[in-house]
Amino acid sequence: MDEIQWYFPQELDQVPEILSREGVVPHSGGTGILWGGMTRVQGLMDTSRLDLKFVRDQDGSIVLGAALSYTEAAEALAKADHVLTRSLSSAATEPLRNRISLGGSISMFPYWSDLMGPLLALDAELSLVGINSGTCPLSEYVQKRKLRQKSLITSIRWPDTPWQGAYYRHTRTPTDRPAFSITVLVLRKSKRIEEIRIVLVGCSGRYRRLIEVEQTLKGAEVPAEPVNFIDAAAAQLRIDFPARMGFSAEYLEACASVELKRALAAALRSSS
Amino acid sequence: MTGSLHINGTELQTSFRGNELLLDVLRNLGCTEVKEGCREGACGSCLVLLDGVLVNSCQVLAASALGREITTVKGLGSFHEPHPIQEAFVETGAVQCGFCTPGMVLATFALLKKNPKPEEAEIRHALDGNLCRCTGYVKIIEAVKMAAERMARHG
Repeated sequence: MDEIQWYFPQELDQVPEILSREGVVPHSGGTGILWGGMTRVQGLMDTSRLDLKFVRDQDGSIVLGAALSYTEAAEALAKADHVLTRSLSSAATEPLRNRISLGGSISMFPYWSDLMGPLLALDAELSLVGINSGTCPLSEYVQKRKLRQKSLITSIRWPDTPWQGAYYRHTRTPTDRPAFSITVLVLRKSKRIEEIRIVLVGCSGRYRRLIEVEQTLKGAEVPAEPVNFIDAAAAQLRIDFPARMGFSAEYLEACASVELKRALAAALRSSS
Repeated sequence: MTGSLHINGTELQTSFRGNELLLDVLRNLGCTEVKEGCREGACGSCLVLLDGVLVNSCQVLAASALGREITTVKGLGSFHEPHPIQEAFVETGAVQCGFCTPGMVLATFALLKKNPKPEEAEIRHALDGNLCRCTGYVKIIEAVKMAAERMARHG
């Protein structure tokens, strides 16, 4: 293998030119580059000298720098008891959480991501620098491969809405990668569910917003004993999985239904 | 590529390939207290502190550590002047084969720096990246609690 060239930009202005070079990809310290293999990588652009580790409350939105590690982001959002604090704190292990960056995790988007479900549910938006400089919804970034090429994610923003939520990940042991995860965000006015968003990551197609379940719940009043209410909503779930990690597709589909009920119950409890 | 690595307060000029792991570079420089275990970021034997942050050196490219302060377990204490965490590990019997101990000590150090009085659940969470195949963790958790008490007492 040829020697990998490293670049250490200090200013964002330098980024587009560096990324325009053949085979150069950004590296914020995470492990995705090692796991993904470096056979096609000719150069690595280290982002640690760029000012991309920040947390801002800006115009009614929360804005996070893309080079924040999972640990840093989880700690920054801990006071708000944010769903991301729970999801990021449960990812991988302590030393890996200290290294995995938000931007790298978004650009790689593995099916076991503990970041993407909450961000997709929050309707997050990304800022990019490179040939795709500007902003774009996260959902569009995930769908369009060309947006991921020769561009660096610099920040992630979402409206600071007072969601209550729950995050469930399906694993065999706590440090396993999840076979799938479920994020539920709820806005309630007394007993009534004003708004609800449910995202499942890890299904066929990598993720899906569970609109069929959301529609059953939106506008409904939560009864004092919600078991049957939750069962009825979860019965609407229609989802496909590929077989993976020793689990058959049918098994994962059955587990998704159970985890969805748990996540809905937790989200409704936290929002009551 | 060439550059300087700051290891336990000493600056060392070294050269390595662009895709070389920090673990391999450190061991080639003689830092054999950084143990090579799984090379997948799963076992915690190769842990070091990078600018004070706990990381798996097998998951860090050496080039990204250039100019940063690297602390191995030898940077905390020595045989003759052990760190209170190292003393606690010995006194509680938290060391058997010793292969995981450098990583365990560094993970404990990183935890107590952030959270001097951790609950047991917080200790387990902070050490979730460290595997021990000998002790079964009971003694290790005892050691962390003992170290926390002593460090709180002596500042």
